Amino acid sequence: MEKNNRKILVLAITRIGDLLQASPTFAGMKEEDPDCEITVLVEKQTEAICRGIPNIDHVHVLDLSMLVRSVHRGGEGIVEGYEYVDNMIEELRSKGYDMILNMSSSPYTALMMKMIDAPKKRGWLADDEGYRLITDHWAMLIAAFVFHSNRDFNSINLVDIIRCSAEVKKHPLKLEFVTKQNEKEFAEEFFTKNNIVNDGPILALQAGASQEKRQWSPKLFAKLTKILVEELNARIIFTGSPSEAPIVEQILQHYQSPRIVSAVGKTNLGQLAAILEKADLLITGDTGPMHLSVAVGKPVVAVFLASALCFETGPYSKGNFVIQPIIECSPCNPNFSCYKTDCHDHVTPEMIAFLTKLRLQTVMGEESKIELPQQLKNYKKATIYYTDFDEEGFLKFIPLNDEPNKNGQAKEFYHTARAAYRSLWKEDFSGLPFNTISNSSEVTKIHPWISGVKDALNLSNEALNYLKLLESAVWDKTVGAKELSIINQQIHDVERRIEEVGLTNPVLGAMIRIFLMEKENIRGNDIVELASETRVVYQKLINRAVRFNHMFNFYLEDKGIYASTN
Amino acid sequence: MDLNNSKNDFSGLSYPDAVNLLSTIMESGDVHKSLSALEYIVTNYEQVQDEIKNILTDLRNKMGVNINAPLVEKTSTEKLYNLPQGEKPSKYDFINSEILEKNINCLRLKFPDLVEVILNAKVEEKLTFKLNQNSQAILFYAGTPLVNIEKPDIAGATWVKQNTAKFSDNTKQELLILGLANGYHLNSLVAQGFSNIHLFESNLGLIKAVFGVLDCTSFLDKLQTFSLVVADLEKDILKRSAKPELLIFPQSKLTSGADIEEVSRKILSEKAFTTLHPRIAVISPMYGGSLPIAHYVNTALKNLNQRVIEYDLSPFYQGFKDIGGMFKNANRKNTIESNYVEMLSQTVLAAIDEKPVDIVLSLAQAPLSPTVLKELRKRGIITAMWFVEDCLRFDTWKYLAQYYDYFFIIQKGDYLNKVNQAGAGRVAYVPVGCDLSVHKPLPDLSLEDKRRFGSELSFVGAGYYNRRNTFAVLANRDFKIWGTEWPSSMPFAKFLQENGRRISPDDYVKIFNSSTINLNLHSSTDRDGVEPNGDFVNPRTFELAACGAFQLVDERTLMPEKFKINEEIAVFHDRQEMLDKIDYYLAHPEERAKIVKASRARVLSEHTYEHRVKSILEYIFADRFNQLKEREKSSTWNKVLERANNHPELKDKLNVLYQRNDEPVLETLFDDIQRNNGQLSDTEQKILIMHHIYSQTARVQEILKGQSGKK
Repeated sequence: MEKNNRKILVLAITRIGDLLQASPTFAGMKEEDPDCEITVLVEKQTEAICRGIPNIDHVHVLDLSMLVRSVHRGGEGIVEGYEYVDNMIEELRSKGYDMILNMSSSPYTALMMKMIDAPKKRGWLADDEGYRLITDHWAMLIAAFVFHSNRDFNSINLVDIIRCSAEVKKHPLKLEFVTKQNEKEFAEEFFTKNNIVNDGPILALQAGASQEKRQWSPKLFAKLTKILVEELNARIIFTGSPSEAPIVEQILQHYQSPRIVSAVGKTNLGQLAAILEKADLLITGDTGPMHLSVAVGKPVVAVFLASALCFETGPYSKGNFVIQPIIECSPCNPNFSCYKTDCHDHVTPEMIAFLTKLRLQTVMGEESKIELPQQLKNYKKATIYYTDFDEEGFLKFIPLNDEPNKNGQAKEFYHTARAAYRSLWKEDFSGLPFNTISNSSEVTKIHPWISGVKDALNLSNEALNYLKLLESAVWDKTVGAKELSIINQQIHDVERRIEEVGLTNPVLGAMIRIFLMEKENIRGNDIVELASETRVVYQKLINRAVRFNHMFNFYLEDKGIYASTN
Repeated sequence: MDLNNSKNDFSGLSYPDAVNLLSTIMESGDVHKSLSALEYIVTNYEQVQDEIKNILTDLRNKMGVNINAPLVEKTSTEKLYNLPQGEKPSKYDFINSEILEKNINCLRLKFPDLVEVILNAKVEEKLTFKLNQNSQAILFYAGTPLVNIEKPDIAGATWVKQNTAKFSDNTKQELLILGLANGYHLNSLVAQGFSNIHLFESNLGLIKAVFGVLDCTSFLDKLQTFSLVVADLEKDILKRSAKPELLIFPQSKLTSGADIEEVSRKILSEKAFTTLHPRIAVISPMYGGSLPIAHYVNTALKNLNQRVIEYDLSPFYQGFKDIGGMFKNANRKNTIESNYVEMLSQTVLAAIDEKPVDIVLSLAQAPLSPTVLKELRKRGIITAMWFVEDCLRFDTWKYLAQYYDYFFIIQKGDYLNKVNQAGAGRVAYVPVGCDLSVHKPLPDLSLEDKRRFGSELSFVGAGYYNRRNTFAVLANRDFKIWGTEWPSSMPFAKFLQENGRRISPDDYVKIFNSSTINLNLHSSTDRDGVEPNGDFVNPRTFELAACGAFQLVDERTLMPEKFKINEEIAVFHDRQEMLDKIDYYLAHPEERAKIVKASRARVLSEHTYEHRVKSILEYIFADRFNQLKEREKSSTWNKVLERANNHPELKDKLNVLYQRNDEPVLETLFDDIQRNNGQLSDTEQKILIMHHIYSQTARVQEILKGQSGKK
């Protein structure tokens, strides 16, 4: 479809951070098609953030709280909820969108996607029977990394995945949020009222996090605050929602100073953005304010604890510092609580204070020249990254210290696998060139770290043979239904064994998960057509396995791995 | 005051009719009966305004002094005879032969078969007569006038207007009038143009009396049918899908109450069957003979398309036994067992609170305590007990009856009154029956089963005293006994099968089907053999008949109304007759086959649990039609379905839940959609969206509570 005057609907029933993470996509859409009309469907509570995100033309609000109350109430609530859904779907149907982008992975937005007609749909869909259907490779990538064991091998940021899913290439290389005049005035007044003057760096601190296990201890925060105030002569502004006030109170119980001000619970989103805009830097976990800060152009020093993984949702702009603890259980599964947050101890107040100082002292864009002190360079309990963009405009994380080994794997293993996948997906899903590696389909050498590639290749070839047999058997009248069923069963067995390869070789998990999704998408009753489509999917797996192996070997031998593509 | 009598008089009457009957009773001067009637109306009709209730309270207070004053009896001296000249007055000679003849002539033309029956009818002594000031004939029943004394014709016309208001512009409306009373209302009906009329009157003496004092030719001429017995209506009008509009003339309750009530019950309940969908909970006992009946009742209710939920409490019996077994001290044991039963009772109540019902139907020995039964009543739930036990030997009804609105027993006669006096709201006779899905012929029974379960003579049941005593004489026969509590001494040691284990319904159906003669002796703990004048018929009788098995059963007083003796069932009255008939029927297989065939046909047409349950519901539906309708109207379900009117597919899906007695919750709606594989409709997709939101938020709430992390 041509990119011309398109009406685009973005299903963005997500959190504030996720919406901000879509801002480069909106900007890219407008840059590539200035007359396009972007409508976002958002949950009522996130409606406010849309006012500050540029390039959104219309906001359609879903009152999820009301709907949740209705469906949980039962009785008349069922009909009430139904009428609400019915009206919403009918209204969206009446708009005649040219493209729908589903940013969420929830089954109900997938169904909404299915129900609203549009020539182009990107993201999670549902089929006629309500089952998940993902035809867009970038959305498949999200689905593949939903499997927790696959997360370690992804290095493509969610912002880029959303952007690529929407087929947007040009973008502003940062998140975007525009503060309004009244919000700026609020910040101005807040600074004046609290005597926040520029007699040292003005640092915002976001202590709260979405999950308890992702929230650094108030005691450590207090220690950090003390260093920042006493060594950097910093002015500190605590940020956060009203529910986060008790955390800040605890911090202040440990350390008080007239140079510390709390804006917790005193701002709306726009006002918070204006305060962050006036500050020099934000120290935070993986939070909404982190995205807001980079969106208003202010760098962050971010600590990714517990389930947070910087490669997925790290700060999307150039020049941020990120600390990712290295521990066997990190990143942990977001769906489970943690009773012993050891990863919190891998990050020290001194380390954050140092990086803050370093960020403030380093000229933006000269991060590659940074030489960490030996103590941090050799630090084994966390990796310190700075953010940058690669040639294709994908966010990348470049380590400043020597990466430690993890899970008994050599330190190069994860980086190499991530780099290989990054290239593979970009090449495979977006057709981006990668000329440094030969296109040979021959497997010359399989590295023992990825030995599962061999099994995947053997099994795929076995399946291809069965498929050939099946296709010829269909035309052969002497072959009965029973024989066909046996061949079919053998193909199923091979598929099950390939799935096992993915489970027993986590490094291949994402690739095989995508293969399985592509197989799921094959629908129909005609055996010959089914067999032919299945062959294509197996062939894709073979190609990817071969390319992955090539790339893995290439990056393992390549010393400039971070500088080039990671 | 006898409120029960008023209940019978007023049952099924509309509010205007009830007021009409009240005014007639008041006119009779019977203060006590009037007060009783007023009490009944105030209690049972919602239309009664508060001031009337206050008046009644005042009246009650004022009359408190005189409430026990003796009734003023009307005597025959008050009669004003209008006799043909020269004829000597006698007790019933108010009948004017000329008028009678005119009416009879008309009747002969229309309904010749009825002439003799009516002419030969005996007029009850309670029926008396006098002329009012306008020389209009007024009939009295037990001193109460059957019509307004001063203006009988106007009262008749008013009744017609009130009761035909809704179809006043359609005089072709088909009407079924229950009750001839004094006949004026029928003349008024015809005078107001109605011509499509059916009349039911079962008091033949009354018909004769009315025909003898009032010219009935105008309405006789318009009558389509004139039925004297309920069975006639059942053959025709009650069978029709489009039934005539039912009008009950209130005063007829005095003269023909029971029959009119039966007809109105059948018609009203049928209406209820099609328009009401009450939720019914069946509460089983933990153990005993009524336990399987609870399951049969549940099945029958389902087969009758009722919304039923069965609370099967049998799994708790093991706990009851185990707890009891822990104690030697009887008092302590009783206390703990009572606590256990109370706990079960409260559990049922809690379950009902969670999944509300409109009717609770308990089977005998169901562990529902008075506390819980009172709570059920407070919630507006109709409580009914089917006491499928012998009222003589199990007397728990004596203290339980008062907590039930309906008490159905398997005996007639005195017990109906006794249970009523024990405080039950309404008492009726409903015998047990059979479940055709369980009790059925097994033509394909394997040889192995036949060998295992078959014998010339068999008996299934517990070893009660009278059974031991009677069956001992069968020592030299091919006789198998199945069941518990039999002695291990001879000859029973020889008869008893499989160590006297408890026999499941599936097994006893096999035994019935493979025995040449199934003996069926009603149990007795105190008689030597057949209990003289034993009344109720046990379930085994119907079950055997339904299985197409031949049985020889001791005759019970209530048996002839169920089976034609010797045609549809073979019976004995003592041990010798049993022995004789065993020999006879063994020697005459063709007779056995004939009886088996007739017997099975009879149970199929009259004695299944579906028939019984229908009968139980008829009583409840007829009495409580308005209450159930109101309850249904104000129920969540009604609001849900009404609200879904604009979404036909959603409504259809909700209706499925409703009919199944499920609660209106999203999860159940979703489960139904999931069960139907295939392409989802637009509505289904929207429901699915709601369900995904529901489950996602439920999960989020769980995670927030930190529960998920502890898994």
